[in-house]
Amino acid sequence: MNASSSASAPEGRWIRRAWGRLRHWNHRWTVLIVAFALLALLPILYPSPYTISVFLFYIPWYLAMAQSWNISGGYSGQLSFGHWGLLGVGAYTTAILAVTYHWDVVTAMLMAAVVTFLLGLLIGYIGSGLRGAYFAIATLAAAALMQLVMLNWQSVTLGSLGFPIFFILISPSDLYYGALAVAVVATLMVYAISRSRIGLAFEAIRENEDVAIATGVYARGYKALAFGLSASIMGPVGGLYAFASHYIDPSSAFNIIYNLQIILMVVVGGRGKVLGPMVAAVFFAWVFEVALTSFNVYNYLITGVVIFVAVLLLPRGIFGFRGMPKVLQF
Amino acid sequence: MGFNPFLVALFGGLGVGSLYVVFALGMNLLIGVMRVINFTHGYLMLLGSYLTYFLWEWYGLNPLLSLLIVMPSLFAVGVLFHFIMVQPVLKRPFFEDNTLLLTFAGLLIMDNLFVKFWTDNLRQVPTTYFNTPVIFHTPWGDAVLSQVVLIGAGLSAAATASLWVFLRYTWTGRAMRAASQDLLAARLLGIPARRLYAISFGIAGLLAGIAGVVVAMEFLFYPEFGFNYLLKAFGVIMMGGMGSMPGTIGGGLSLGVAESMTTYVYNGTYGVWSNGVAYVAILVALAIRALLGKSR
Repeated sequence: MNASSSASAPEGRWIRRAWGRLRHWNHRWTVLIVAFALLALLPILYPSPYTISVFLFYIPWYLAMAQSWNISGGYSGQLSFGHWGLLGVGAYTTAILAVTYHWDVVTAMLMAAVVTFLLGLLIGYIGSGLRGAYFAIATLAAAALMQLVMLNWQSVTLGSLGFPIFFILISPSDLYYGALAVAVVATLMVYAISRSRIGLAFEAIRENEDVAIATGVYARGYKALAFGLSASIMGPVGGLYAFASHYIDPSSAFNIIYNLQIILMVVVGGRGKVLGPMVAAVFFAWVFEVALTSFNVYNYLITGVVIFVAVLLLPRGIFGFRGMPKVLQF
Repeated sequence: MGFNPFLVALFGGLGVGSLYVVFALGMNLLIGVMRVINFTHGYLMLLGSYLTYFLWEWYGLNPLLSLLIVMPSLFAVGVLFHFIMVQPVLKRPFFEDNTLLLTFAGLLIMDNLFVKFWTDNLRQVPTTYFNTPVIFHTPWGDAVLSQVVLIGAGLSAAATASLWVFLRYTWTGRAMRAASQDLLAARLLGIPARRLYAISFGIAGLLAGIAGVVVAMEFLFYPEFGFNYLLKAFGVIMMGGMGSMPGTIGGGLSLGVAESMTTYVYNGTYGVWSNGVAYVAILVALAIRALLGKSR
């Protein structure tokens, strides 16, 4: 922009302010809005309910999960292997509230978000004294324990028989836009964190916890907060899973492969970035749910090999190379 | 006097616990020496089990004799894993996070390949001493153990003792202990850290191999077994302390006893809650650690 364009700015205070904001428009917003607009168009381009419920739904679903993992695993550096447990708890909370207690579907999912948020705060606080791999083990054990509780708490969850949700039918496109809404919230959450004091604290803890503590960052609280925020996304995600699959049991709702796939997405996209994990999530959701559905047996192998290669060759993610445009590196 | 079910559970728990000890020792060695948590450890153990199984099935080799083949080959596999999963990220920032991701990726790959090549079938190396009971007469009643459990416990004890001797009396062992106390000082004094790392990884693999032979004799194993044992080993290590050998021994035995007591209390519902003991142990140990304000 140059002087002539500012001279042609309309008169008036609020108009001038809006014009100024527009002139200094952050093109990262453009990128995000275009990306989500494309995702919102997908079910209009492929309107078949079958396509939406079997393939398309998983794209925003994985995206929401990947951004959720990104908050704790990417920003504050706590590699979580417990998100599969939170997914299962979210699924069971939503299903029980909606079926047994006849709650409204959206309210049930919001309640699931509250439950997983509190659970995440608790786990985050217990694990906040731990670093790196030990935190990973703590979350892994916590998730395995959650699965065991759901398996044995038969009066409420029906145990290994599974919990049917056949009576609540939600149209595939509603499910899709529900997942997209969660994904938007998760992405905005990551973006807001990345531009705020909280995000600064998270990054300080990730880079060097001792120095962060020495400069006055309350590391323990921030780590618990990071895991709580991250966990709160998993509640609605689990609820969406429950309604999409109509039936959950302790071995299908608690499946560690989802956790590993979102780790893969964030690692490939770049830990602690917004756009990279988003692109990676959309791509790998397509890979796992569309391109390779007939190779489901090899899901672990593919996930393992991709994580391996990404850690060795892409330490800063797909948009982390030097020549990349700045607008994509966030 | 008849059987005392409490004592039976106690002895059974000690028997299983000795296996946990030898399994967790390998992991804890790596944690102590190089701060690497090797998630593939459970599958290294299973590699030993499958090797024992196929040696028995194809050549009729006695599982105890197959130790002579399993131990060196698992040592080699461990060294190989070091060069694949640890060496490339050794000089990068976030070493712990990177090795964590790499070894977890290794776990996934191994699990998938095991299921692909060797299927989900339950396998076991049947031995003549499997069904032979050994009865202990004590003042409080009788306890019984299968002979194979005794053999397994003996093997574990021998492995633990040899590791102790190795760490105490050989130059390499002393170098390992030095590296686990203060890596920088050890390197300044001329200890070749990389070679030491490779050897530690090899020894961890070797210990996993011994555990694998015991598993092949005592249990019906299948690929998911590796993952369950991994969580148990974490429980042992969290209880006993990271990098501590006496802690691992105490933690392993007490985890075995605690699991078997849980099965005894929830009489009949076998294995449902007893797996949870390890998870609870991990979380409780971590919670105590968090309250005391320790970060490692």
